[in-house]
Amino acid sequence: MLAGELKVAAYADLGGLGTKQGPPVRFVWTLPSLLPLLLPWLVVLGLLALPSNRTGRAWWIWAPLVVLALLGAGLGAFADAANNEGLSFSAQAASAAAFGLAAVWLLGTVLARRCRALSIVLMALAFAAVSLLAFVVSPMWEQLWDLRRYEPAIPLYLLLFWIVGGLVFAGGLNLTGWMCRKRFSCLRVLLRLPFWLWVMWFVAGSLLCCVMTFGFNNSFEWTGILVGPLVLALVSFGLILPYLILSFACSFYRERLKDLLRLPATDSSPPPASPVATPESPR
Amino acid sequence: MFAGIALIWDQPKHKLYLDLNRNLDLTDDPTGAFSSTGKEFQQVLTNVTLPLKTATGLHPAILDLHLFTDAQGRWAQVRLHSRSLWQAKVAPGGEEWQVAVVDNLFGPEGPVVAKFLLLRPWAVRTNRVSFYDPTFGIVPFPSHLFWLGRPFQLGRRFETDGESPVCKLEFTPQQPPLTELKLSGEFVYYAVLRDTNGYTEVLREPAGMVHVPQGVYTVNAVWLKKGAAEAFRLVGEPLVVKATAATNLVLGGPLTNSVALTRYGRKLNMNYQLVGADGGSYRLAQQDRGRPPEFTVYHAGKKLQSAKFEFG
Repeated sequence: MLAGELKVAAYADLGGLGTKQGPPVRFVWTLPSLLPLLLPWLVVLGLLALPSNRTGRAWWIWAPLVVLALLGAGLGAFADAANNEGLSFSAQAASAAAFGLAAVWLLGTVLARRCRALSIVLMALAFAAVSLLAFVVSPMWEQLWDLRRYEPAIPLYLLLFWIVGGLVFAGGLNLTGWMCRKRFSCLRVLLRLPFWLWVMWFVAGSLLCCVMTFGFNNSFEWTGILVGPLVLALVSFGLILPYLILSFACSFYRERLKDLLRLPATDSSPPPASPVATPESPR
Repeated sequence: MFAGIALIWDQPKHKLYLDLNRNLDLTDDPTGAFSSTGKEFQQVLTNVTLPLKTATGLHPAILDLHLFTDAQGRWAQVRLHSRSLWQAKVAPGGEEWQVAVVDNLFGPEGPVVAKFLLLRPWAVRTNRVSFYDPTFGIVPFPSHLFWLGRPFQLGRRFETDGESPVCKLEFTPQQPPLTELKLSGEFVYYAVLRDTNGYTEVLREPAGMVHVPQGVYTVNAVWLKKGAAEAFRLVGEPLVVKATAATNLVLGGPLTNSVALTRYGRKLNMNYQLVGADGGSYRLAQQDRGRPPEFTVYHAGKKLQSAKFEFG
């Protein structure tokens, strides 16, 4: 990383109207502090201190988080090298969402104790808060913050985006759980969750289009309604997949996933002494 | 409808039909059919002569029409470029000038004749002019003009008795109070300064002392020339000259290659600038886009990187 005084000189043939080489222009470049980048990691560490997470197996949450963070950093570096700001923004947003999902997984037991509606709202807010924090400390945020001079409402749009993202994940998990209420299996979750994520993004996109069309009288490309949610659903599923794999592989997180899906937990206590097994008994 | 003229654009056949006699019948305009060039969705018609209704009668205007549409034909756009102006070549001091009056065909109040004045050396008469960009020396038609060291009251009138209408300009010498203006800077080919309520000045003088009518002027246009190289001052940083008493005015070159550095998040934005002796931004008139300006970054006395700026 480079810091200190930079000198930049410009050159161009001015055809006699001036000299070819201009005088160097000085600029003192200071490195941004890396400390804010630690904040979302500290939040995850803090959530691990919750009573429901006080077990060594809970620390496996770092596995999907680190994998997604590394992937996001790699994609971000590639985007920066290619000078592709759109891809860089997407990579930073995806990395931030990984922290939001980790928070949702760590809060799963607490959220499962609430009624369904409240649980969905709390899950969405938890996701939005942690994701937004991770996004705000990311390098992309400084650039977005500078864009306020052209679009002052950018912070509001981002807040809405993360809340909608939280509602999509919360809604998708709840609807998947509802579809799997008769029988829980990894395959059933893997097949149903992408569909419900697409449905949720489709609903969110349609609502946005209606607001833009009828509220602000803006024209909208309706074909985007079909493609956009599909892409967002695939990206969302790609982000949640490492957490699903963790949940399928680790019994602690398998129960946490069931909490998030609002499915009954596996009962590890011995069955009651009864000659007839009830059909609803957990397997 | 365009300027009160009905038209049909037969896009697939590259044809434009104009209702030149304005009777809403496009079958009785034998000279109103034009063929366009260009691609399917972007077609161009050049040198289309239209009779335009103005307060002083019908005036012919020669236009280029750029026609656009989308693939589905849901909308169509017409962009108009005027090729018409009233002009004369005059050489009062042995030096040839283009003295031109330009109609505003596209104003909100409809076509208005002789709305602008354009005064520049005859050699650069083919340079592009835009109403909305004073960089090229065009000004709203002034009541007073200071040109070649002499103040005039300026008038115009139209004579439509002959075969074709004629626009006549009248230069009536004036004797306003003058003040000293010390000009410095190099390569100034001509400059246009405007006093909002008074004189428009067209300067062609070399560096040195000149006498100009008193006023507070805004520099509208500065054109530089040395050999084949030409450059012009960009608007955006208005340069105000308070010439109510003797004053100095720096204009033109030498030009300096420079770069504006601004932090943009964790990136350093580098914007190329061509700076004049007056501190304003200039641009080369013939910029070779295949050879953009370059830059080199140094850190601790060592060369870090060299690259080219990108246009955009």
